[in-house]
Amino acid sequence: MMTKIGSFLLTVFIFFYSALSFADQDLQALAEQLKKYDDPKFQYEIGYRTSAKILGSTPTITDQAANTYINLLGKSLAKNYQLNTYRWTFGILQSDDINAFAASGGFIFVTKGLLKELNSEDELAAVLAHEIAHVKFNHYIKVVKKQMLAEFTSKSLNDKSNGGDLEALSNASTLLLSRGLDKQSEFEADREATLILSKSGYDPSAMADVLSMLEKKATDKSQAMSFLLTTHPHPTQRLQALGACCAEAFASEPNKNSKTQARFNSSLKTKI
Amino acid sequence: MKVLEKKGFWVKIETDGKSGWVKLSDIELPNIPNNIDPLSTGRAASGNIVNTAGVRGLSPEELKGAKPNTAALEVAIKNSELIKDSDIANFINSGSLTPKSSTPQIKTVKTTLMGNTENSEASKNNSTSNKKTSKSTKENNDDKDW
Repeated sequence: MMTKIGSFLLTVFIFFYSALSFADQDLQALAEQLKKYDDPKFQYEIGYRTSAKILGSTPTITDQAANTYINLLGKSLAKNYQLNTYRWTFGILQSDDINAFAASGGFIFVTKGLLKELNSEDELAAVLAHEIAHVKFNHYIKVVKKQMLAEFTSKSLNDKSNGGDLEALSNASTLLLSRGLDKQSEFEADREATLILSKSGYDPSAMADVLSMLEKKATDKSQAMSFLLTTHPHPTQRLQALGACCAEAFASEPNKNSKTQARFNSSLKTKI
Repeated sequence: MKVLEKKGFWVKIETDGKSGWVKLSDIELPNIPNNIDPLSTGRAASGNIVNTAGVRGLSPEELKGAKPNTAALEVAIKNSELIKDSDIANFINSGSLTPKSSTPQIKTVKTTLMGNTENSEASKNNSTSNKKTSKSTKENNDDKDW
C-alpha cells in the first residue's frame, strides 16, 4: 500500500516538475523573442516589409524635386531632434486619401491627398514630426509585443511562427496600420510633434492647425478622411488634448517664416 | 458658446452676443465626437468601399491584401539615401531655421475615452472652465477683435 502511495506521489512530482520545466522554457523563449524587438536591425526589417506592403497597395509619386524636398524636411527634423541614427525614408503616396503612415525603423509615407490640404512647410513638418514620434516611441512595436504577451497565456510558444517569423510580424504590423493604435499613442505623437516643431525652429502651432484642418474635413464628411477616422481619435478630441498639454506653453510663441514658403510652393505644391 | 474659428492654439468663440479669442486650454470644445461612424464619411462599411469618380482611395482592405512591392521601396530608399548631411545643413540654413537648445515645459495630461482631460491640474481647470472662459473673454475685452 505504502509503495503504491509512494509511486503515486512520485508520478505527481514528476508531472509537475516537467510542467514547470516546460513553462520555464516557454518563458525563456518568450523573453528571447521580446528582446529581439529592441534590436534596431530587427525593427528596420519589420518596417521594411510593412512599407513594401504599403507601396504594394499604393505607389509613390516619381517627381524627384518633391521626393528630395520631403526627405530633406524629414531628415532635418530628425537631425534637430537627435534622431538621425535611424535610416529614415520619406515618400509621397499616389492617393487622394488624407492620411500618413509610419513603419518601425524609420519609414514614413504621406498621401498626396493630405499634402494638397497643407498650406506651409510648418504644417508638413507637423505631419512628418507626428509620424517621426510614432517611430521614436516604437508605438507599433509596443503593440506587437503586448499582443505576444497576451497570446502567451493562451497559446504555446513552441509555435515558432508566433513572433519569430518576419513575414508574420510584418503582416501583424500592416494589420495595425489598418486598425490604428490606441488613442494615447496618437495624443502622445501630437504632443511630441509640437515639441519637435518648436525645437526645429518651426511654428509650434502648426500641429494644432493641421488638426483644425482635419476637423473641418471630418465635419464636411470628406470621403478622403474615412480611413484616417477609423484609425485615429476624432480631430476635435486630438485638438482638445493638444490644447490641454501645450496651449499654455506655445500659444503666444511668434513664429512666422516666409523663407520656407517659397520652397514649399515650388518643390511640393506645384508638383502634386 | 459657439466656436467661430480656430487658429493654432487659439479659438474664436461667441457668447452672449460677443466674440473673442481664447486659448484652447481655457475652454472645453463643445460636441466632441467620440465614436467613429464610417457610414457618415461616405464609405459604406468594412469591405465595401465606395469609390467616386476620380478618387483613388486607400482602404484597410487594400493595405492588408496588398502584395509587397520591394522594387518601389528600394527606389524610395535610394531617393532618401541621395541626401547628404551637407544637404540637410543647407536646407536648415536656407530656411533660417534655428534649432533651439530647449523647449518650454509642457503638461502631461491623460485623456479619457470620453475625450475629457484628467489630471489634478486639468480636473481643477475643468471645474473652473466657465469661470476661466469669462475671465479670458474679459481679459480680451480691449482686443480689436471684439
